[in-house]
Amino acid sequence: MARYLITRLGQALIVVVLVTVIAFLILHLLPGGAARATLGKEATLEQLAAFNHEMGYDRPLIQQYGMYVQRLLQGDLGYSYQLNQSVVEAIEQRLPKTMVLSLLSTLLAVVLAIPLGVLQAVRRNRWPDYAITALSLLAYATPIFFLGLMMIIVFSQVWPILPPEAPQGFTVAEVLADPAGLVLPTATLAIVTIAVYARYVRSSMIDNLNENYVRTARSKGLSERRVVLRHTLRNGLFPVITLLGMYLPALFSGALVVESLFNFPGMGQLFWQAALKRDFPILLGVTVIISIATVVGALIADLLYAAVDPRVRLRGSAT
Amino acid sequence: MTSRFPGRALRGAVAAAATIALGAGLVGCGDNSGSSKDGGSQGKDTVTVAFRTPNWILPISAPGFTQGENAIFGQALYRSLYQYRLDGTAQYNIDPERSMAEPPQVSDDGRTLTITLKDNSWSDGTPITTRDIQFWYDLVTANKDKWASYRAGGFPDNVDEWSIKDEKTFSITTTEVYNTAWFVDNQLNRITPLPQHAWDKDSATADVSDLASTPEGSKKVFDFLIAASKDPKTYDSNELWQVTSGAWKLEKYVPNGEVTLAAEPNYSGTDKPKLSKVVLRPFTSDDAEFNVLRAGDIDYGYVPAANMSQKSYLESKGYTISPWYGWSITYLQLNYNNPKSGVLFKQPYLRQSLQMLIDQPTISKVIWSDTAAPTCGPVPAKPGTNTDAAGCAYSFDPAKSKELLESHGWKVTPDGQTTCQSPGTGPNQCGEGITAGTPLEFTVTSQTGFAATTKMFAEIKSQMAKLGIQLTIKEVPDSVAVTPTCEPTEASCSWDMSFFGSQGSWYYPAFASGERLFATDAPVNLGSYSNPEADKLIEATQFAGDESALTAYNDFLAKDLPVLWMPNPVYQVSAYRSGLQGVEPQDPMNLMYFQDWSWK
Repeated sequence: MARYLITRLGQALIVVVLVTVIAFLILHLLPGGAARATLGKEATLEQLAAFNHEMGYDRPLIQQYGMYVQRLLQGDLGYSYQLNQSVVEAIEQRLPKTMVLSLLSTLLAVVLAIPLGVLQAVRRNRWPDYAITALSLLAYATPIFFLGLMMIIVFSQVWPILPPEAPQGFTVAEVLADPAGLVLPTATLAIVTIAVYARYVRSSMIDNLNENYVRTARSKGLSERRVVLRHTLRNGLFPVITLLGMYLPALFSGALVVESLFNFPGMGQLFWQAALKRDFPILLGVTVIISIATVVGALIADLLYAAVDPRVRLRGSAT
Repeated sequence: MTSRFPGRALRGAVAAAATIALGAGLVGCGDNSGSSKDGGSQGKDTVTVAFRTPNWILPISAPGFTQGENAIFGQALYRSLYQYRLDGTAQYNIDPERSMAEPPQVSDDGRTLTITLKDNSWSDGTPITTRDIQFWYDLVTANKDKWASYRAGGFPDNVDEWSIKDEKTFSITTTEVYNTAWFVDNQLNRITPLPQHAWDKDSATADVSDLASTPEGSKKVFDFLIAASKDPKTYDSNELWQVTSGAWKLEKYVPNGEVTLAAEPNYSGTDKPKLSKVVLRPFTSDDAEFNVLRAGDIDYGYVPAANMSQKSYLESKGYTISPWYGWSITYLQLNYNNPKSGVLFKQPYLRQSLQMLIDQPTISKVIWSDTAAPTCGPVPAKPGTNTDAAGCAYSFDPAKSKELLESHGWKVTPDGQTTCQSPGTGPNQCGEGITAGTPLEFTVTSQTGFAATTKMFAEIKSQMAKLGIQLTIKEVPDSVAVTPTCEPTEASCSWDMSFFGSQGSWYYPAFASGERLFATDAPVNLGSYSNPEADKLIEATQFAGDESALTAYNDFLAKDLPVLWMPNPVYQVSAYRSGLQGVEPQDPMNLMYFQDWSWK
């Protein structure tokens, strides 16, 4: 297992390095400079040159990258002129908000989607299955922007029981201190996820319910409840584990549409605004964080697989 | 087979999950904001304003931090020496009530301006004197390369002598005889008294001295102050920023978040704040802001152009909707240095022909829903007027536009491709550098995120297509960044036309001269327009003492079309609670004076 972990971590490191190289090159090949975007149209040529010099943009690309990596290894992700903040501070400020929103919505989605998916599987081709399938497809097909807007109109304006915006604090405690503000953004984000997860669980459960081991369990006289919850569900959750692993980067990258709609300045907004304004330090900083989260997410998914499926563990050890 | 499953258990699980999920969220639902719909969202003496978080506090602007919100925030804490108003009633446009000094006395030779300070004090009670003006002057002269407002040849390069007479009086002798109105409005507007008795040091622990009185010391002090301003998380705790001259003090500051201003009890100006607090709240998007506005949770916000149809709904909810007109112009920048299209733009008849295909009054009325007005020239019309393009040199006239092209050797192919048929430099030919068969096709680099802008260019494209002029619209997030000033040989010089005027292309200081826009080598002359006659007239606006210079400059450029004049949108359509008074008039130069605001 240790060897497996070391191999995977090595692969992860290579991926992260490659991502930073590619991101660095793409950003610097974009037409239009960061200087004009940052300083505005009234900046003089001298001011633009001074900015480029201060930020190191007037040096050869390879040298810029070398300096970036050097700073990165010291935990310095650079300084954002657009925000007048260090990149680390900007990320520290937004990451807790994004993580609270993403975790809550994922938790809500998992808590609802698994029972719904199981219900659909065991009631396959009957009215509960049809009803949940129809609702899932509707939720999945509804643009998240429209869904959020409808939630705001209904629950904040027509029937004003919830605030139209998310909590405005920046720390986890401040965000959690305003639970009412979390309802609409969390629900908006969760509804689409529930639809996806429920479909996966249903499909996987149906497959597993037709397996021989289920037939064997039933023939041994186990209760249907035990067959489904103890034997089938464990195997049926494999797709959800994969999805959760791949969902980890979303915890860090944020949910741009929901953040925009509910006035919740998280990581998605940070990245989007930086992209609009060519804020290279922020773009690179967030890219590095997300790439690390992606490889770590994939790694966790693999480890979870190994934990729930001995066959995976054996194959992993063999490699 | 499936029916053997005990459904009750699963239903129970679903119900339990739903209960947990909804229950967690619904805790506290009873407290849906503290809004009191008839007053302010936080009470009668507080107002909540939709406002981007300012990110610069030092009242010396640094490159990259010149955004409008920083100017408003800065003025709330640190008053400029002079404040301006454009109602035409004040000498040199100086606002006599808000300014910290009397209008300057001009010497007979016109070179020396003597300025007398009024009685004012810092928030800690120390009198504001010429020492504080001198401190500012020392800082900007020794660090002009780091000062955003610095332009070579401008202030302080054009100051021959700076003299402190006494605690209340100082004088400025200029290197040349300038038009006093220009100098007062566009140069003296930069002066902001700074608290020398609190800031003249190079570290937080150092004692205050006269360090800034030498250039070396001044650099150290400047760097110290800049470093403090680059640490926004300490804005509300750093002692430096506790000493202010404005009507407000900073009570709470969250970087990229909410900012609370509290009325400064020791404010020495005559325009005392009537509210106790102003809460500035940023929004992640227009939609987020509008949703909160619709819900009645802010007292002052704006109506995004895409939501103008809901104006009456907001009015029914107790909001007053009011366009905020700017002292601004809007234009479509032409790139004269583009090796391909530059030769075309250099032909005045072609610029005139293109201008006559822009139906400014209709676009302003229909597409901008009456929240824009035609631009006719470089000097803005009085804000809120000129809705019918009266006085524009070139009104919308497709027939005349066609005639102009045909009379200059172009084969006009409606809904096809118009090409040059008669190359050459004769009066009936296309013009210098234009070869036979050259098509009239241009790309406009415009802005994303503005529905009205998109519609406006669709209309202009359609009008131009009728004369066989092909317009391609390319929308980018930041059109200025990708349409730089360039030399014809540079790869970045391939852009034809650039638009960055969805909220106005250019906002002027009180004196609307064009030295920064249309003079050869002007910093914002992105398209490299150059005309010796225009340069001469622009220079005259700075040096001639009579107002006719500005008129002559405007008339010439209105006709010469250094750019294509476009409908000038309002800065924003403001929405504020009808019980909130003092909001209007909204300052055309985009400042906000919260001290004038009060609840009925």
